[in-house]
Amino acid sequence: MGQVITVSIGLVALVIVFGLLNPTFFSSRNISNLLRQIAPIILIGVGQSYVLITANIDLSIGSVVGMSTMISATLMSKGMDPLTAVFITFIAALGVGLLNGLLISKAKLPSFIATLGTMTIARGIAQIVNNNYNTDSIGSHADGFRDLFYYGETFGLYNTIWIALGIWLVFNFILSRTRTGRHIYAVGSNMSAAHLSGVNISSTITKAYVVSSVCAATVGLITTATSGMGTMDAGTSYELYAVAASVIGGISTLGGQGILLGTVVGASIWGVLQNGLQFAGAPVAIRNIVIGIIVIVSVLLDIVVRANKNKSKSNQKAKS
Amino acid sequence: MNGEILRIENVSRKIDGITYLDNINFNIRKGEILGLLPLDNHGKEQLIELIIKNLNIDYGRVYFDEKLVNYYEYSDMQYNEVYVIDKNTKLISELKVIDNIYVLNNTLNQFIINENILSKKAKAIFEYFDLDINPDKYISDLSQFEKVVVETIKAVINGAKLIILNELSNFLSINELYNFQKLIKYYSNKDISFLYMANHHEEAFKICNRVCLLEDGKIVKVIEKNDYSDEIMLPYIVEFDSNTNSKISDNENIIIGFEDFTTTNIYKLNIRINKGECITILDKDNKGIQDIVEFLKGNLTLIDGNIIFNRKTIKSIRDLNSLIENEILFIPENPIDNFLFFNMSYLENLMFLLEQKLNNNLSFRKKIKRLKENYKLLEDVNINENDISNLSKKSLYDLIYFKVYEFKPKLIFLMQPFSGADMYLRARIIQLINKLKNEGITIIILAVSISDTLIVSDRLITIKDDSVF
Repeated sequence: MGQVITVSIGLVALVIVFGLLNPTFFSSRNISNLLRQIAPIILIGVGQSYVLITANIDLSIGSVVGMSTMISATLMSKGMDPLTAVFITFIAALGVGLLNGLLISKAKLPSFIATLGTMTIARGIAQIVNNNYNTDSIGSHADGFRDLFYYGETFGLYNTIWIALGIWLVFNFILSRTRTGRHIYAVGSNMSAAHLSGVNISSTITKAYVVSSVCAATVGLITTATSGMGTMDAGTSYELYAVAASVIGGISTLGGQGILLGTVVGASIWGVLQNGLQFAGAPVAIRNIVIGIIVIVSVLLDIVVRANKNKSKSNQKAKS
Repeated sequence: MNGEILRIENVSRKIDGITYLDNINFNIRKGEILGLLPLDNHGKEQLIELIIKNLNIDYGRVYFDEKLVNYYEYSDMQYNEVYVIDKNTKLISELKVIDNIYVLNNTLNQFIINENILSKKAKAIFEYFDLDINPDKYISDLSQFEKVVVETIKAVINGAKLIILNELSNFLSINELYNFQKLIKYYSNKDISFLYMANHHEEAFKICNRVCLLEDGKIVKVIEKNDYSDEIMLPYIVEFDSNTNSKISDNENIIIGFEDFTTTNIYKLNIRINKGECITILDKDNKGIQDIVEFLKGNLTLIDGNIIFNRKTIKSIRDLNSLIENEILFIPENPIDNFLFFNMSYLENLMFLLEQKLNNNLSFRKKIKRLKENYKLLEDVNINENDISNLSKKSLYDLIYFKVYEFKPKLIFLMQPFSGADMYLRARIIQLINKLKNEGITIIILAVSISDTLIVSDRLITIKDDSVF
């Protein structure tokens, strides 16, 4: 929680700075657009957070976004009704999540290697779905789908934001209030202790990867709704944005620590930086460099804070 | 100072304002096996660090091999010719025995390695000690005992003049310890010195020329060989209360039975254990109990026989989850590292096992409320502690056993419960085990050394050379 408060203060400071640099930053239109930009990052951040808390990583998120975009867009462009297309998209993404979970928990592959493999597979599927071409328009029969996922508004906010908020609420509840959530923390905190306490390690890790894939598939659908078509390179680098959002928000890369509220703040920092630097006229390269530096600083801070904490604890213990 | 390998003279060492070593005085002669019994663990690690490396000291002098190497005005931070052997091997697992002994060695001048020659050299050494170790084996394939032997030989060949042996009985069986002590004696006759750190005076008395007692960072007594006796230790021994109301029932109430239980290292083990009984299975070779552990984890299939639990015949166990479903717990050795979640609060840790048992949210909430109220009343328990790494070792052990107590299993397997514990902690663990016994929980202790287990056990079963006594 400490780091969440710290980064929240940082977020507020960033908003104030960018607001002072460019007053239009505070316009309702910009804020609304900014939230809509942040929503997909929150979603993939939630998925990546689940995986990071189990002390693993998911590099396949971006490719699953691309795969989901291509599957849903191809099916709809060929006239399939959106509901069925969405259903099939989720099944395909679930398949990748299950494969990740099984490769890591059953075949004992390091998560970095396993998800590197599935990242390539998912990207390959994205390319093969429409014979190595981006899709045509998904058609007017999918207008409802586009409104639901991107263009529509409810209570003055874009639906994309509500979708992100809803999914965040559900997965936050699962992580903080249910036994499954407790198991996810336990596996990342101390796998040996979790195993001895009757936690099904394999099932827990698989669940985390399934959550990650579900979140990525949702972002894929949002991407399809946004452009009205499917592009094969959709979601490129999203896995890194997801790690950035999680890490900035205080999710420990060592596992067992962090809360999803932090991921929201982390994703918001990422979004505000992108948006604010764009307003300030900074080129894309500079934006990427700044975000990269912030990710490194976040992890370094985490390490330094932990080291100091451990040092003061051992001193405290010795004194007692 | 003649013939001394180490002299520590009036040394005090403070770290961050805490005195870890308080005016310590002792010496080790060349070829001597000096015992060190830490009555508590305060200062033990810091003393080892100081012997290995000439770290800053606040007062006193350190002589190594009759040279002044460290004094309060100047510490050169250099390493002494000292090697520490403990449970965490410093050998490279992915390399062979000969690589570890000869190649990773500052005395080897060859660029091209002739494995045959090195293998023959190593074989000759192993044969001399009557040890069946293949020099071409990878370290990862060796047993704990073999690793310790290889490490000792490596240390000697590398030119170590003093070898610190850190609580070997925590991970070597009685037989292995006996065999290893032969090796120590051989090298001590070759003028290699040993600092033998032990948990038990009986163990140290068997092999050491002298024994020092370390308490609160001070050497409180040096016992000469002629004075070895239990009486001399009495003022330094914590009284262990062994009063329990073990609810041993008649044969009708057998909770678990091993019937012709046969693995690679156990031949036809037949035991019946009553509800509420506490037994120790002592394995002098450290192989049989490993088989039991692997069987419990679901990693081992029995060659013959089975176990009977609650009148059900069990030939194999799926995994640890199925054990817990049957309300059987396995508490590993060094449970602080393997049984607690340091990213969770005291209460979350306490409730974790119980959550596995209770699915009804309402009763669970009531249980939490009741637990909070109960534990608030206990001294030394901070139920509201969010960061358990702030707790002392004793409090962490309390938490482990409270966690088990709340789960109320039918049966617990305790693997080496006293491993790595100083005298005060051992006394506390005995109290905690007795608390479980008083609840009527059946306890099976798996041990390689008797160390205090008899105080809590109703029966002792010894596995030796594939047979049971």
